[in-house]
Amino acid sequence: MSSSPAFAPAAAIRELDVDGEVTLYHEPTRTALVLNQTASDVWRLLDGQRTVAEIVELLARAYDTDADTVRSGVHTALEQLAAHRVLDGHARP
Amino acid sequence: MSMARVLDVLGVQVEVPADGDGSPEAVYGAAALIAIERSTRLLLHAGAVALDGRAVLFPGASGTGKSTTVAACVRRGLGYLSDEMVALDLRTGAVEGWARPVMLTPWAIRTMGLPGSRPDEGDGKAAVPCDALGGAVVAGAVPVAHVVGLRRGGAETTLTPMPAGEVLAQLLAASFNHYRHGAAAWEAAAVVAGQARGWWLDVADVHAAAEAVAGLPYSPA
Repeated sequence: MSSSPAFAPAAAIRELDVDGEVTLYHEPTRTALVLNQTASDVWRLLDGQRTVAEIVELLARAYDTDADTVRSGVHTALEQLAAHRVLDGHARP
Repeated sequence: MSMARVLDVLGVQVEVPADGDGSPEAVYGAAALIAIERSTRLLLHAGAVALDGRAVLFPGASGTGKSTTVAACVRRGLGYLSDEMVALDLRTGAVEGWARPVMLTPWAIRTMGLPGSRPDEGDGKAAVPCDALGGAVVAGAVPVAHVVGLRRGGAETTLTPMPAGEVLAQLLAASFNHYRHGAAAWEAAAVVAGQARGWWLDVADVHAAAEAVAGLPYSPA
């Protein structure tokens, strides 16, 4: 997954918070998804504007660690979210 | 001439062969499949007992130890809801159990200290009425206080907390017919996961497991 695109929640996604973790429901496929803590944090930062690199930086600061440590987790989370078709993505100019 | 009888499976009336025609496991299994097909309620594959008037759910597939754990809990004095399936009310989040006889293997029957099983019997399960376990059926819907995932084969019997997200995943995975209810089923399961407390129960000894369940903290679901 490229580090330059920005992602946003796809349309037709419903979201609930369960004790600090995010669960999603994809209406078209009637599929529920339960996110782990990292994926939940990534999801909350998806606004269609932030790049992946910016999300990595924000989470590294939040977790009080370096970007390299959180980068793979962020990429894994985004790949899993994309695989479940809950993301809209585009390349930022 | 063979007679039929009617089972009430969580509100679905299912005609099954009379007692003695077919193994209890096959008869009740077939009845469950028909009920799942016909029911308009959200059905979960879960054992359940009542503790302080609230439900303790054991969601899980066949072979995870639901029936044996439920039987041990009933022997320990907890109320009986089901060893197999509960209906979750989408509006209130309360559950009602299918209080069929508990399906126990000869090993489980011996372990419970019940008569009627010989060491040379096969693996076929017997239908053991709740009262034979010294327990009582809890009728009607009760709120869910705890969701317990069973894990077998541990070196010792231990309870460890399960995160709410995992509780939700367990409930959704245990749902027989959530596809009929769409987002309403997801929302109801999420509410239960947010309100109930989740636990992993590693079971080395089933009586110690029942003791651990009986000692779960009071949880005002």
